Amino acid sequence: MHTYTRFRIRLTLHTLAQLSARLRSSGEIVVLALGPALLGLLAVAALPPMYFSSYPPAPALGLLVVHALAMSLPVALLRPRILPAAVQAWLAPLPVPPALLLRASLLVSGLLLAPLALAYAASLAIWLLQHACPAWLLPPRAIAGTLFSFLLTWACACGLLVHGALRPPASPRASSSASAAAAGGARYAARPRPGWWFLWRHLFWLPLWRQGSLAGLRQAALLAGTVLASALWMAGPALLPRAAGALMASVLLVLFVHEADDALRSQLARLHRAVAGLPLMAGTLGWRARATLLAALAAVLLALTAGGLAAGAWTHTAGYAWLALAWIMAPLLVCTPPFTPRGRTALVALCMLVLCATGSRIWN
Amino acid sequence: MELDENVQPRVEVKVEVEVDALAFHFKTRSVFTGLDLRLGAGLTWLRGRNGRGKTTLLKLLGGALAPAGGSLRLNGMDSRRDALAYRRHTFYCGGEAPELDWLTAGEWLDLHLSLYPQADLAALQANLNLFHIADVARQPVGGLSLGQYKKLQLSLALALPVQLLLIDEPFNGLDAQAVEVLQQDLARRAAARTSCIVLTSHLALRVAPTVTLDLDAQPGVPL
Repeated sequence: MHTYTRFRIRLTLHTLAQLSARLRSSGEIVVLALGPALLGLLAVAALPPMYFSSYPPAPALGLLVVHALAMSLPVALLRPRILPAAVQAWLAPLPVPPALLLRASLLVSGLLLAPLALAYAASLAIWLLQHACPAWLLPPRAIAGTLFSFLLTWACACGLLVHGALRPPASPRASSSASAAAAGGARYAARPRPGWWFLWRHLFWLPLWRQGSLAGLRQAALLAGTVLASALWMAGPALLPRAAGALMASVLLVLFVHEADDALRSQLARLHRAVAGLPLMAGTLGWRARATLLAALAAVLLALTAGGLAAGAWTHTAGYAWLALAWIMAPLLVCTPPFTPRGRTALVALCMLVLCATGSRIWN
Repeated sequence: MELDENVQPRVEVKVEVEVDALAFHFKTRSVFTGLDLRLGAGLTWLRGRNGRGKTTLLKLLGGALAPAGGSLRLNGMDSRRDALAYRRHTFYCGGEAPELDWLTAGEWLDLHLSLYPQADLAALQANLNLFHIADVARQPVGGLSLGQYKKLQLSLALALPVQLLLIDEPFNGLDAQAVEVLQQDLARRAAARTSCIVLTSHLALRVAPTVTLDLDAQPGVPL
């Protein structure tokens, strides 16, 4: 095998190993809690292409193409990790022959899509080997459609990787702030000494949103999700059972607290070295940052408490228990010292389970 | 009698840096095993071969690294016991990869100014102008060139009222005009002896240092 191809495969395996190490502890919890549901998902993996194949040729072809494109989305999302900007920068100018580049990209995309191929094979086997097939299932067309969808997904993934390997990282567009900077510099004049909010903004808030960090967006999305789910839970529309609302609100609330705490811990670890020589005490900084986070979480919980009060949620034992657990969960997650990642995931899962179980009984 | 405004009276300030039995180890090797040093006001040129621990010593003196043993004192303030007060009187200017790289240059300066409230703002503005970087305030620190980042650090460092200023390889990446500006400032400070400046440089200094300290020849620095 050519050295270039070997390098690309090793790079991919390294990325996959990193990703699986990151997801290992949460993966274990998910498998433990949702094992049977995951088996069910495996069984229906090839259901969409099989079902689309039963349509007349023209719409079937369109639907299969859309499905294949959608299935190549994970590769598009993984591409920045498989071809990091630094690697891309020196890979692009290398004199790699097009055939070699195509071969390497085919192998790498094949490696990435191997789990999908296995899932399709298992799903096809489950559906086609059962005694009583559904009337819509036409075995030859189902196999051909699934195979066509997979090959198209593979081709798309390969194209994405070829494009990524050929293209040097794009230079960012000139920002309005950069042009403003060119226009004139800042003037430094005497001013009152800034307080904690100034430090917090510079050291904890701004990093959430800059340098391509998605931490701020994730937290904003989870907060919006929590507020929406809680509002639906409290309003209790006819279409959404209360238990489902409780489940969504509880899971999203715990995920929001966990995400905020995780981002804070990562930033504190980053700052530990960055501010080591500055007149700042890392310990005090950490506790003040945690206190600020808890104050922000308290505001969210306060809004939730007020919403529940208006909806009459906190009138029975289950309501009191959910409210107390929600208020305990936030400081518990934020103040628990960092132990093993698996232990942390177990704590988060436990918080979710307890809140879901209690919440689903409020309007029972 | 008329006084020339450019000639300032020479007022020496007592600055004493005491390093006693300093020990520091990386995972793979020991850098210091009982280093004793005494530094005073003026310009100290810290020399030594690559890997002898010049940058490590500056970081230890600046409080950016914690010693494994021994003590560091500045005018009697212990770097561990009086950590906050010690750090308010020291500044480490070095490192080519910017820390706090999510900030813009202006925010980076504001943050440091908030931590060193006695900083000379007029001097800072003058330094930014002299180094021709007064217009980079809105650029991300991570997007500055090596020379621009060095100039930003130096502009701040030379405006801080610290007693111990640690400057690591200041001439790397600077253009000729900036080297000239820095040499003049260092010469003025070396003559004034109002603070202790410890500087590392592999290039020969055009400024006469008050003391030249060769780490290769110091006991407590393993070969």
